Amino acid sequence: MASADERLDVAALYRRYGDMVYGRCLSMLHNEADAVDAMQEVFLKAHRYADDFRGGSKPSTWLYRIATNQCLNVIRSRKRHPEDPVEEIQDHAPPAVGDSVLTTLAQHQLVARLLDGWDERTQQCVVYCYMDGMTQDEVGELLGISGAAVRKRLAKFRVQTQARFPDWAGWAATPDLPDHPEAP
Amino acid sequence: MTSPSPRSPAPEARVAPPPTQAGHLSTLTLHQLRYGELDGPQARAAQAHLEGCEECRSRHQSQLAFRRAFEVKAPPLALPQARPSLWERAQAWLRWAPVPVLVAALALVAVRVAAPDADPDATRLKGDGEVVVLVEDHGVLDPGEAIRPGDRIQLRIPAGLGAEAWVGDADGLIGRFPLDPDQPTLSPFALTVDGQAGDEELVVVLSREPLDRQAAQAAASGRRMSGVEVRRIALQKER
Repeated sequence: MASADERLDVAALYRRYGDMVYGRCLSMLHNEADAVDAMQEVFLKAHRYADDFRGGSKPSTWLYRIATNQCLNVIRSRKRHPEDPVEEIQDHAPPAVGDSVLTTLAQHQLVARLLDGWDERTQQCVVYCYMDGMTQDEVGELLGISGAAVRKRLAKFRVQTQARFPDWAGWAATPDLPDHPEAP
Repeated sequence: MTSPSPRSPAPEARVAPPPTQAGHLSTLTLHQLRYGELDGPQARAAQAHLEGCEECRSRHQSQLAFRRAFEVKAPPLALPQARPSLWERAQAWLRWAPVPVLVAALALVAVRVAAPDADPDATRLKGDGEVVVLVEDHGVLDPGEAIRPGDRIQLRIPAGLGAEAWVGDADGLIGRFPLDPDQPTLSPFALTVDGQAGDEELVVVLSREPLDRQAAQAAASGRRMSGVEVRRIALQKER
């Protein structure tokens, strides 16, 4: 545990990066109440795990990762609660060329269905690459794995998603999707 | 206060600057450009891309607009400050955390903390200190003292009352924050007194372990839970 003087000033982080974290949560969860709760969790975790940050990356990168993981946790939790309806993926047309696949899916609360069954790391790769528009190498750097490992996971994801949802074969077969991440 | 700086070079410093393989800046890169966190070459590359890419400029503008809206209407958030005195913390949050949540009505308000032994069956956490009400530009609100509409109040939770606190009113819980185990913790958000008539009550849910909103709300509604204590602060309005 860091001493008081060394303790991360989480309140300062909130003032500086709160908009990014909240925007991230909102764009992934599409629900204001959930986004607020998730944002609070992110900064609580930042407080609890401040020591993890000390040797690490930029504050924005660190918080972005925490926020992404928190949102994925929420999405997985939603899936476990059948009272929260998740629309059928096949009910929606594939995204138009130029649309971000996951942005389109998120708008229809379908992220959970698309990511269902995948390990956490693959889910992270998918979100960072398709929703955030990072290169595979950037994703690898962010997650501390090789770009090749990212490519392998995404390739597997595409193949299996194409098999699960044939109507979406067009984008699933596209190696490098056009990226139009949803602001913010 | 300043943001902390990493002790070692950030991993992303080794990442080639944008644009991405898809021809656009990533969302995180746009954020970092806005925060001034890209190093020289990265920032220049990103800026050059922005100048030539209408779509990324639009996304960048959206981020800026979202930032402005966020500053105006920040969601409730509870965080411990790193250092200064409690009152310095209060002032900082009153200035920076515009989370005015309407709480009680205008009037002279007498404040009292519910008697610890009001419910002999209720869970009691180890600490036995009282929750203190603070009013901006006034300080500690003593029993029988008045508050007025527009007053911004915060709560000071004594040490030893658990690891986390949720604070709310009769309409529901507002926000939560971790508690310092060694010293009193000031709620990092302010509650603004409105002008509605009728007595009000603040609810403080103290717990040994973090609670999600649903569980905390259940406790506030009267469900008995191990390791959870609920304290109520009555606000009596001016007649």
